Amino acid sequence: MSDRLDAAAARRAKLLQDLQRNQSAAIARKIRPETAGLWDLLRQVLDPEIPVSVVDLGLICDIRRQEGYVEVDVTFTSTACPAVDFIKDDIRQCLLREPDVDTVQINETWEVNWSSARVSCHGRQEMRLYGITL
Amino acid sequence: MSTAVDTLLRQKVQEGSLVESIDEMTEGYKRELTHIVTVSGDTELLSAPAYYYAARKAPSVNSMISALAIIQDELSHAHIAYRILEELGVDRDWLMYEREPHEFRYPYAFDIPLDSWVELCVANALYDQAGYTLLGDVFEHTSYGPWKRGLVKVSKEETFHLLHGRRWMKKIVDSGDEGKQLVQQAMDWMFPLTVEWFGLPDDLKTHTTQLEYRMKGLTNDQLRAGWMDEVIPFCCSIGLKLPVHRNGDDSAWELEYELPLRFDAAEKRWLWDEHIGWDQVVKRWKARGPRNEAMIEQIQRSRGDFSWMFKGL
Repeated sequence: MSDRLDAAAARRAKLLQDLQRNQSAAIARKIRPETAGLWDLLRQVLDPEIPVSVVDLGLICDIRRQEGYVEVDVTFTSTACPAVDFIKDDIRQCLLREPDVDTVQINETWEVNWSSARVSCHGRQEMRLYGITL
Repeated sequence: MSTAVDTLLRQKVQEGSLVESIDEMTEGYKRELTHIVTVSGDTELLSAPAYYYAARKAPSVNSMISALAIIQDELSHAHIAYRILEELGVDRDWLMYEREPHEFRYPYAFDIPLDSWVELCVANALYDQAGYTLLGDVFEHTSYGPWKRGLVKVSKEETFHLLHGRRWMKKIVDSGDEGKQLVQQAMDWMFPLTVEWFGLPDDLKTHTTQLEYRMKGLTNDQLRAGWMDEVIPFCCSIGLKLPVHRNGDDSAWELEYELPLRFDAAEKRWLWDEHIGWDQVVKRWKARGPRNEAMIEQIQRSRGDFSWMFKGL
């Protein structure tokens, strides 16, 4: 039993480390052990225009969790982003698929100035494959 | 240029060679390329006023922004095509501002008003998929290098347009019976209109020069079938009904009506029992439809009533 718990803790620690290592310092600071799984989950949500995840594009600014209630701060690459509604819907649906998540609150934030510096290492590689170099 | 040179060019492009500049073209190649790129550019250009007409009915500011982003993409796609035409010696000002409305070459569907947000979303799912199918074929097969490279951007952006249409269609269908009925109604009207988009069936089309010069790779019927393979499964997946069937998962989709048909434009309704000849359809295409003049006026306005505003620019 204790071996299994140790293995799960080790997996979580590795996930946290991988996520933080992949991201810019500003985003890495926001990824906490209790929300690392949710950050990882949102790597399944792709931007509708460029097939790179919203996490790797640096759109996710923070995730807070209190039991089944999850709050996500999200920004966009521009104030006139045509995909705002799509992205918010996808984030909500993705998180609600988790059995222990009941409510998702999404906050649009413009306090963070999105720039290409927020794109993760993995995101840059994906974009390069798609023909976009940052 | 002699016929022998033209035959050699056709042979070289069929073997995979790309044409990169006007110096490498025969008159025949240049003429066909100019024609096909004009149709492509005009289609992109006219989709802008056609979509704008419905975008004004967007249900929220965010959705309006999405529609305007699509319109802006379409204008930039037209710009790519017109730049290519300019390199072929066609005057861009003439293309945009000096042609008569009936001289623009684009699918008839855009001449019929998109009267609602629902119709705009269905247009994104059907018309943009048709454009994507046609240009995807050009991208894969065309022998004209500059066009092939120009289409990289176009194809990426069109993907968003399709997604926009499909997601909104699903959202409206999922909203309840009323929403589903509105989407079904738009589909009943616009599906056959897009089937017609791909032109004459292969057995009636004698003009195959564009295939011989490898400006595109697939025939009208192959393109129509490719489009049906994309749109029908999606529409069925959200519970819409279409006048099509197939015999088994691997067989081709077949229409349950005989092309072409007469329709009631005012009521946006197909008259399923009134079969007509393709000659009548071609006549209708050439005469253009109800929104043709208004859309061209919108595009050419800066050279007309508002020209004084643009002096000195």
